[in-house]
Order: sequence, then structure tokens, then C-alpha cells
Amino acid sequence: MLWVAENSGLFGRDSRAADRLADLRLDTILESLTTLAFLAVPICTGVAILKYRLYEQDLFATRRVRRSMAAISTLSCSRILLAGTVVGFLPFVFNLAVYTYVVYYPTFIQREVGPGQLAETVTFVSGWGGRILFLVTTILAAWWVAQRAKASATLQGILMGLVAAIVNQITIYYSYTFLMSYFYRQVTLGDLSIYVALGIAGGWEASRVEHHAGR
Amino acid sequence: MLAQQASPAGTVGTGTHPSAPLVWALWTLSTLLIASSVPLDFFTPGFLAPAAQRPDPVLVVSSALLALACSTVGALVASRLHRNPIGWIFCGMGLLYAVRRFAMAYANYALLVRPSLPGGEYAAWISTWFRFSGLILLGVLLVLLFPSGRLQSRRRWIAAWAAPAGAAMLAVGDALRFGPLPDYYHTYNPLGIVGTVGGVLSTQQLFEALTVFGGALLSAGCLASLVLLVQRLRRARGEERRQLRWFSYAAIPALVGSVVTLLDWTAERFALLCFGKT
Repeated sequence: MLWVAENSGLFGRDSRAADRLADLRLDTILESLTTLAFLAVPICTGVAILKYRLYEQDLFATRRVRRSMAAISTLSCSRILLAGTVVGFLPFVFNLAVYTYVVYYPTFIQREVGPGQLAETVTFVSGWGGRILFLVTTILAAWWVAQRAKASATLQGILMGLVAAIVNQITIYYSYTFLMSYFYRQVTLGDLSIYVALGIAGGWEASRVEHHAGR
Repeated sequence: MLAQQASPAGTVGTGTHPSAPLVWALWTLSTLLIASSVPLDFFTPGFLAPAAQRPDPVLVVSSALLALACSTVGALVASRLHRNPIGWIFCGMGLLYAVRRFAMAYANYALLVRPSLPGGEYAAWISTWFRFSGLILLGVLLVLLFPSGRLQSRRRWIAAWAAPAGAAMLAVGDALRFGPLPDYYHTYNPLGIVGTVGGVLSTQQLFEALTVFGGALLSAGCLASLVLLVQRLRRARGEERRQLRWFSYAAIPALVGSVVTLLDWTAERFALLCFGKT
């Protein structure tokens, strides 16, 4: 592709133009677009199935879609989002409080504290404390969401936990990137997995308990 | 209606079938692989990844969603019409893309971010030889078999044989060629073979030649299926034409892109084989 660009009149046989073309990574872009076009084939086939009765699948698919839509319509999205955002944001506030305490600790005790003196305790408190706080608040919030759910209580609890985990990780990511790289650790795959698992487990457990409580 | 005309009773099975759990198992596997690859992509800093593998967030998310659509449509069609290969091809496309996506993301993460993780070079190897052979081959077969699942003319048979043969040659050439992997210049092919064949030809040249012939054959198959699709579209009438038109909206750009990408890649390998440089 670069050879064509370099040797055709289009780019005036200018090697600098070809270099810029190389910077654009045209072959990679073309490959990505081709892959996207391939993956769009099922979408277009789906339209043919639903709109023009291809394979006589339209009724089956519509019934399935209708059932899914009915399940989604019972979800209280605003409640899930609100509870998830608050719960996801709480560990950030907790960590902020811990670090503020550490910053002002020498002032409280009115003497110098060595840099490594509190590090271990702070890491432990903010790490495990944050996780425990997240789990407890997720369970409470999922319970609240499940109590008010008209249907699909378990699904709503799990979704709330998932939203909380996502909000929590986004908060940590942005606080690391833009705000306080000194205080906050970078998000790791392990952290993400733990928080998502905690969120889902907390949401599921709370809504299950609520479901069995005889509503 | 196209589906009815093209698939007489008995050719295409409908209703619940013992293969339905397999279809949904494939769907679950594809979903899990895609879901695992997205965080891995996000945890690999862009500046570390090779240029061709640099994950763009928009592309990562959109391709993940489209791959899920592929598996879902495949599962819906295959669970009802289990004898029609179209649903299975969609499932295969979704799964192949998911495997390659996961292998790529894992390779980048394991090789660049956390070198203590095992199997990074094997993941890079898988993503290398899956690059063209899998998705393009299934795409060509899908176009040739759509929608009845049968090859209805001699010309379609020829194209349907050329494409798998080309894809197999391309895959073998890419999988066993010794040296750095094309998209991972920092990693050598863990299964690359060094030696001579009959004392004249080095294995390097042999696999390079296989890649060139395979690429040429697969692009010929792509081009043939593109021409045949356009011909069918022009001949079709009524509902059949509308169904084919929707299918072509994505299939034609995909095939054109494949032909250009494959020819570009083949020309590069040809230059390397004949002149020792790209």
C-alpha cells in the first residue's frame, strides 16, 4: 500500500508524504475496518430476519425480544444508578478521609512522623477497609433496591452491584490519573476483578435474602 | 420468500434440537472471552503495545459489541435451523474473533505489562496465524452459502474450495515461519521451524512461499465470492432482493476490505521472498 502511495502521482513521489502515510498506519486501519464490516454482517442479517422474514425467524426473534424488553422495563434504572453511584463513590470518600487524617496526623500529635511509619497501617486500612466498606454498603443498597423492585429483584440487585463496582473503579482511575497520583494506586486487573466480584456477590446475596424474606 | 424457496422441507431442521445447548455454550464462551479481553486491553498502556496492536478504546468496545452480535445472531439461527450452516458460521465467526481478540489482549498484557504471566508468546502466536485465515475464510463461506446453506452452482463450489485451501496455506505459513512474529517484533515464533527442505529450499522460504500462495488463493476466493454476490443481487427480485441487499450492505465492504488487505499483505510477503525486503 505504501509502495503504491510512494510510486503513484497521488502523493507526488514525495517520500515525506509516504512517511506521513506510514504514520497513519493505513494497513492497520483498513484491517480494523474490514473486521468491523465482517462483524456488522450479522447485524444486517438480523435486520433481514426481522424485517423481511428471512428464515421465518421473525416471530421467534420478536417474541424473544419482547420478553427481554418486558424484563428490562421492570427494572428501576434510576434507583439502580443512584444507589450504584453512591455506593461506588463511598470507598473514595473513605480513602480520602484516611489520607487526610494521615496528612494532618503530625499536627494532631504535634511531632514529626517518619515517612514510612504509617504507610503499612494506611495501606491496610484503605485497602481492606475500602473493600469491606464497599461490600457492606453494596449489600445494604442492594437490599434497598430489591425491596422496592416490582419484579426481577435478583437481577436488579446484581445490576446495582455491577454499577457500584464500575463507578468505584472509574473513580479510582480518574483520581489516580488526574487528581492524586501520590495518594491513590493505579487500578489493577486484580482490583477490578475483586470489586466487580464483590459488587455482584453483594447485590445477589442481598436481593436473594430479600426475596426469601417472604415478599 | 428466499428462505422457503432455497430450503425445501427436510433440508433445514427447525425446533429444539440436541445441538441447542452446544450453540449456547459457544455463545457463552465467546462472551466470556470478549468480556475478559476488554479489561486486559484497558490495562495495557497504549505506548507499550506495538503500533498495529495498540488498543483504541472506541474500536475495542465497538468490536466487542459487534462480536457479541455475531455470536447472538449465530446462536439464534443455529438453535432453530440446526442443519443450515449459516448459523454455525456466525457462531464460528464470533468465537474466532473472540479467541483472537483475547489472545491479542493477553499477549500484550503478558508480554508487556506482567512478564511473569505464562504463555504470552503462545497467545501472540495464536493471534498471528488467526489474523487472516479465520475470519476472512468464514466470511467467504458465509457469502457463498447465504441464505440456504447450500452451494447452488459450480462456480460457487470452486470459490468454496479455493478459500479454505488458501486459508490453510496462509495459516500454516504464518504459524510455522521462524523469526519475529509480524505484529510482535519483540517476540520470536515459539513454534517456528528452522531447516532446509531437500537441501535446496530453506523452511523460511517454504513458509514464506506458502503464505504468498495462500494469500493469493484466499484473495481470489474473496474476489470470486464478491462477484457472485453482486451477480445474485442483480438477478434477485422482490423480497429475496431486499434480504440480499441488507446482507450486502456489510458483506460487500467486508469482502472489498479483505481483498485489499490480503493483497497488501501478500505483496509484502512476496517482496520479502523475492527481494529480501518489503
